[in-house]
Amino acid sequence: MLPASTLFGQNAPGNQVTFGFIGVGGMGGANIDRVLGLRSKGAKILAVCDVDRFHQKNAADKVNKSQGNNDCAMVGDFRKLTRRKDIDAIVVSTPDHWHALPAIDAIRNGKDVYVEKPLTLTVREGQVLVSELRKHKRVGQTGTQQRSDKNFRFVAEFIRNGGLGKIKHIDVLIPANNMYVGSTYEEQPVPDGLDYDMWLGPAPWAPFNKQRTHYQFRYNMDYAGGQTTNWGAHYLDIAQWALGMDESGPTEVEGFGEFPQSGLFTAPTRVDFTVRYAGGPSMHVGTRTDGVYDGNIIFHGEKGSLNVSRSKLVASDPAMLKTKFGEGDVRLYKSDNHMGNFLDCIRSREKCVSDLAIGHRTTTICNIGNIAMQLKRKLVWDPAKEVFQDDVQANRLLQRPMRAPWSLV
Amino acid sequence: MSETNKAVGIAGVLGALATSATAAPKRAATDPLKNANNNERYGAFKKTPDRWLVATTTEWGGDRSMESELTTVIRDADPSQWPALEKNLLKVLANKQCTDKARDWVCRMLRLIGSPACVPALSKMLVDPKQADKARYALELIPGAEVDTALQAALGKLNGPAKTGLQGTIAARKQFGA
Repeated sequence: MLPASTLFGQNAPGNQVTFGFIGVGGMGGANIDRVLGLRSKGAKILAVCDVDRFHQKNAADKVNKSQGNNDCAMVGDFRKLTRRKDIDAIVVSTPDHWHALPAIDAIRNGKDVYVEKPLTLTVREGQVLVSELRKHKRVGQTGTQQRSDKNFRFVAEFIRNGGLGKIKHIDVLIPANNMYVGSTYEEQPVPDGLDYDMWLGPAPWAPFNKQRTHYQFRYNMDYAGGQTTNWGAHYLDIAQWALGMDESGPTEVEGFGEFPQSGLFTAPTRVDFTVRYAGGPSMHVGTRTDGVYDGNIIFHGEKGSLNVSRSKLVASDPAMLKTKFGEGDVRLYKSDNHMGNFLDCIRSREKCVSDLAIGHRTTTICNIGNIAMQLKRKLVWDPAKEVFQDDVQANRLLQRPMRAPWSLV
Repeated sequence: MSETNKAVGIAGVLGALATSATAAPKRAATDPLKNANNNERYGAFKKTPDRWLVATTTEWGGDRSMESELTTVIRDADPSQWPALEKNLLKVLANKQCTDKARDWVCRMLRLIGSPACVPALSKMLVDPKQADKARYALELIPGAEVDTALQAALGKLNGPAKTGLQGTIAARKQFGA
């Protein structure tokens, strides 16, 4: 006999929310675990996609074992997932250069999307992604899961309610690179099972070397933005939340970071840029040098400071941390489970805690920070028009032409 | 230090060294240049690689530090200097020694500072399926009717993925401008 919940509850076939996964190594595997953890709430994974057959098989085996079935589909081309009629939601956990296109294709095919951070590789991709999300009335969650953490929410609420007075300055530390390569490299044979042409996708062609793909992709600017976007996407997101800037951003950016002068990696080895908000605080983003692989954000206000990371929350006055918010106080979106919030919003059709538009604004700061570090000059940013003022080079860096046959439009 | 100041500084130092060496030549018996005159010796020290030529012949996976240096020069340049830099980049493309890696780099740089002046050179690449992606990388963001005309003209000469990519570039220019 089947339990009543299977017949009538969220697990009843008609009430299930079906998922497809694009990119199932690293973060993709972690996101699969998160969705499998929502099985009791009606989440079910139907298919996985990866350009690496090894990743496909591992992911499908995990899904089948957990769901007690044997039919999780494995594909190498994301379009075979995004165009399936029986899939409700797509989770994109690919390298960054492959975030926008599958997500846009999924949205255009009626899917809701969870897109890993940083939301997109370029500002232009983010604009198109958000525009398509709204046009097709889909639900979108950015994988900036610190918005579903109570400590970060407390800090943002405390600041939004004036707990620190006017914010004067913000210091953000992000981890140093944790992978290194030499100044030259050899072309290597593509491993069996990896569709390297599809892995490159819209990025410029380059010869295969194992240091280019999988985890290390983040240190090559053709596929990602280094730690600026990898960790900046998390911690700058908290700054934006606390400042109430989710629909806007800073107006000035200046950078002095360092980049490798040779070798396969091209992303900053030292992040160092400052943004300024109109009439508001400045925010410095730098590489931490103490070996801790976590970010850290310190808000300096008129009444004191708050220092928060994933492992600590320290206030200049410990009494601040006992603050209870009451009626009339600003209360921020409450989520304690990032993927769970996505599932809830798929059903309610409400916006997610890290709606794609929010993720886009945060990712934009990371990207203009990288641009400022590359150009090493002060740039004036117009957050309404999302362009730099009077700088041709900087504006040309907001968009990247794509390798054939891929296109953003 | 600016490029000009650097040159003056190095020349000054070398000049002082030359004068000093003329005054009191001291060479070890094993010095291979012990019989060379001072000008030859210090002339050899002054010789540096042609950085544009080094960039021209850089291979995939090779030392790209000279590319990086030139990239910095290009990023730092005032827009009034872009036409001269663009000419240098087009010389790299025209050089028979130009490698595939160098073409990739040149097109990335033309993306930043390119003008319609680069259209003739890039038009040739645009109709070569193996080079079309690189040419589009530069051309997509360069404003000008010359660029639009070149892109349209190439449409009839390409097939398959290269043509699809070109259509994407044309659509992107229409939607986002250049």
